[in-house]
Amino acid sequence: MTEETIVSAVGTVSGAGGVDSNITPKEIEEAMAAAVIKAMNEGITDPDEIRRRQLEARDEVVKSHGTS
Amino acid sequence: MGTNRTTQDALLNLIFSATTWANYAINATTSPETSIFWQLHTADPGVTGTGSTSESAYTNYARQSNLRSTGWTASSGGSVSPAANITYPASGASSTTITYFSLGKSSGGASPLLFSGTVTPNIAIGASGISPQLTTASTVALT
Repeated sequence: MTEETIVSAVGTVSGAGGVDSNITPKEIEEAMAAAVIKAMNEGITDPDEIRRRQLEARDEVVKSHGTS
Repeated sequence: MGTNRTTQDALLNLIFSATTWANYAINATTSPETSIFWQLHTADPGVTGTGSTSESAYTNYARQSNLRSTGWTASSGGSVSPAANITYPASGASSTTITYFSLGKSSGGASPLLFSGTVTPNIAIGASGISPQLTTASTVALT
């Protein structure tokens, strides 16, 4: 019987680019994904904290465009 | 200029939790979608893609779903997340890498997508017994 290994990851969707057309969804998505990697590298596994960091990254990109 | 946070939450709650957006929109009253389906992809399905665009085909792969009623957190801060981990069947002998995921309408075929995004870190499936999982940290965020 084959042993089963669960490989976990975090899915990130950025629904930007609609009203804030000067921000690309990819730009925000990349910032949020980078926040996930950083959290994982720090050993953080708490989903709430990972989510918080993703949203913080999103908000920083928005602020950098002066659209917050 | 941006989308107001309250508007973001209302839109997300309507889409993911079938919750009425007071004074603007209610959930479909005839044949409403009851589930959101989760696809895994080996490349970005893009904004014109469907559920089957670059969809993973590892041995034993099958789309997963969660309910629009209880399957999601209430939107907060313009974002929602699944209420439970989304876990896929363990692979048979396969060699592929999961890089994107999408949320859509149907359990199979070239079905319409609601959203798509990245999988971090990518999930390499290089042998039997690998069961991909997207955790509750997964996020759909509007801006």
